[in-house]
Amino acid sequence: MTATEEQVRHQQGTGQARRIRISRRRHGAARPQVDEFDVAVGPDTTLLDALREIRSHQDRSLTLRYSCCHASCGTCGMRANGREVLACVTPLASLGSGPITVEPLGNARVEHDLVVDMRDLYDSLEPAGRPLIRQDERLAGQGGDAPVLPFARYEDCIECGLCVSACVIAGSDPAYLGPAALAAAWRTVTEPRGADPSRVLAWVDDEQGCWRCHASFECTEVCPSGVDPAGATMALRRELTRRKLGRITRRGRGRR
Amino acid sequence: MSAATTTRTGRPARSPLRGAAGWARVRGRHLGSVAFFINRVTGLLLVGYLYLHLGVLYLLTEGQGSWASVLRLFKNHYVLGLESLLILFIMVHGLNGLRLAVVGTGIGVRHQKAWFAAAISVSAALYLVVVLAMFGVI
Amino acid sequence: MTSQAHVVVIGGGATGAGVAHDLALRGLRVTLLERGELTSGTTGRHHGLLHSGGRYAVGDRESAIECIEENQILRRIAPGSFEENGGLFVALTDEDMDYLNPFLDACEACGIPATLHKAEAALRLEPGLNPDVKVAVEVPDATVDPMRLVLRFFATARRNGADLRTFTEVTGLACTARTVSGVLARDLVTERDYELTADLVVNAAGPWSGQVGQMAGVTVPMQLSPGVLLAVRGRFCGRVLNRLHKSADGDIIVPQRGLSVVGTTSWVVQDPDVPPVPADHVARMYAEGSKLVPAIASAERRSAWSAVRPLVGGGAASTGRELSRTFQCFDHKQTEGVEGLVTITGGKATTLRAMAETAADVVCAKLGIDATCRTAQTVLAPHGAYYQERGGRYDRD
Repeated sequence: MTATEEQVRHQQGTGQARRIRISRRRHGAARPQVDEFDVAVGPDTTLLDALREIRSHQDRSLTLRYSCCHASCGTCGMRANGREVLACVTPLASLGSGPITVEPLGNARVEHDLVVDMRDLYDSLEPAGRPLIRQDERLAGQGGDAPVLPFARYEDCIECGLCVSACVIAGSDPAYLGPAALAAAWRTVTEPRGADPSRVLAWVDDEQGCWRCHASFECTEVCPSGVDPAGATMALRRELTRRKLGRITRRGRGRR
Repeated sequence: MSAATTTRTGRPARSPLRGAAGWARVRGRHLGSVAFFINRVTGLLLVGYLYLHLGVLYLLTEGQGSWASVLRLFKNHYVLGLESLLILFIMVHGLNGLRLAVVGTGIGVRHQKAWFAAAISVSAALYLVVVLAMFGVI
Repeated sequence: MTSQAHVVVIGGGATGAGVAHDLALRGLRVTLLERGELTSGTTGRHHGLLHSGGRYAVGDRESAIECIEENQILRRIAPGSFEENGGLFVALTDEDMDYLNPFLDACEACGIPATLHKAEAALRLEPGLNPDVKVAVEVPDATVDPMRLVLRFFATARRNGADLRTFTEVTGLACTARTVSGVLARDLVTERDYELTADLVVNAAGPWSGQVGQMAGVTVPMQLSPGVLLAVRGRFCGRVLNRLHKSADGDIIVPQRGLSVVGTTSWVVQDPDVPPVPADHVARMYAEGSKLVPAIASAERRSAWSAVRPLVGGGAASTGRELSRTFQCFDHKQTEGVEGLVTITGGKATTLRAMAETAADVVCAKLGIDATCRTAQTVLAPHGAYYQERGGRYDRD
């Protein structure tokens, strides 16, 4: 049973409708089920717009997280057609022309419908000790010879969990630190602010730390904020390798 | 709240892959994950082949007669085709493995897709040469 | 002396967060109900400005003073939560220059530190500015992550025992003999209805305050005024940029991480749910934004959305810009003789703590509880603690 024709030809829509298939686990159910909805769409309709429309007018029991509507809070992460996205900045036009399959993020415990438990992500980020604010220097559009203007800004990472969901290793090994934590660790190493980065490097120098990555780079592909967790993980490895080789060569030359 | 437009199908959804198969998801993935997937699959197949190879070598202990019959089997065109695939898998796994070793120490990370394209291209070119040589064309 | 008085707070936005935190700190038992995710209403969607009050100094002095005071308090109780780069009010035309002296005088009168910069100095501070800039006034604006700041209040409230129930919709207020005795709630996850008894109910539902008030038969004079915001890729300014003139469309650019947020417009609606995003408003954001920063004109659109301002007061206002941005607290016993219900609404995200203090004072006075407000001195828990806090989680089963 689908939505009525009248609802599909919404006053704002161009007469077009898209079918959204939501894979949702209801409270108390052992397995998720598929619910289908038809939504009227315009040229700029985002996936979040469509889901809010469904929630407001078709199924008030649909639970999903969202807040800022511009990729800054990181709460509306989900899988659309198998790919991790933030619903608020994903135009339906970018999701092909057929039915759209929506699932909750992976590698996190699903609480209900599209809502996942973010506890593990925040637990994994905490030891990295990365502050919320970073120091930066270059504004967009500034040329190479432009004056260096320092300013404070929020870290790029919006703690959305897309990288963890996309990670091929996190899928099979819950003990893996994960791309979000490793990216945060690299940020602490590059901007230690007087703290000793060795503590964080020792934390990631583990078989479940930066060495567990298998270089699929999926985390960097799906990150909506340009964090490049894969690059960060490789940079941690490079730094650790450099330090270990340095220790070996120093010992070889009889110095400590 | 309009119950009339609720569209519950109640159809069970596919549960996401977890545990040992958690890496096997391919839909919606990008090139780096394709490389990972190829490496893992070729790796598993090569490990499987290794056991087969050991099994075949064991036949050497059973004397020249059984070894000769095995060699006759290997001259079969279909088996030769499989052997050429084996060489392809070794090249892909090996060259991509080199890419992983380099990139995985933090060198050339920005060019990881180009490295993979090069590995596949070289493997494909060598595969062509191998096939042509195997079937006596060159 | 701790009280076992139970207060139910309706609304999981900035207002509800402040009230839950303040009351929990004073030792009351708090249950907060939010029908979606926290801050999924207006709070999460605002452009992220920590107001210096400059925008209101000339036309709305009361709001301006509230803003500068709370600006300073929030930096103390939520350290490390703001891009503290300041802001500029930029004059581009002669009309803007006419506004300069009233602006400087008003800032001084409100206690807002203001520094005048000539054109060359302004362009050195912000090379992305329109090169036709005449003067710029520096004020202590800052950028705030709308959700994460508010989450710090929730995290602290949770640590102090507040019961925060998301995905729980209020379907009615239990009323007997013109006294609100509880809340009728629907758990959207289990799809079960239940009743929560309360010694007092605080209506902090933002744009939905009017609907909640109706459940008890009281009128909350709301005017719902949405505005469109535009986020483009690229950070073109280090600090907040405002146009030095009377409030108008598209006169602010707030940098957030690697984005620039241009806002906003203003019109009036009746329905707070799913406000539209008119395409001509988005075009106006591009046009006005690029007057301040020319690079905006060709910047890639990241998102365009709308959020509904909950303005207090009805009447003749037609665009929503005419009403004051200050907040109001209604004790409905005094307004309409209905006991057990207090509404706190209006206001701005910057003044969430002050709004909560006012509301909590009213709540404690009504319940006969002697407890002073300590929120101006209490440093908040980090926002991640909201997710990590194990104790006191509402069990849906």
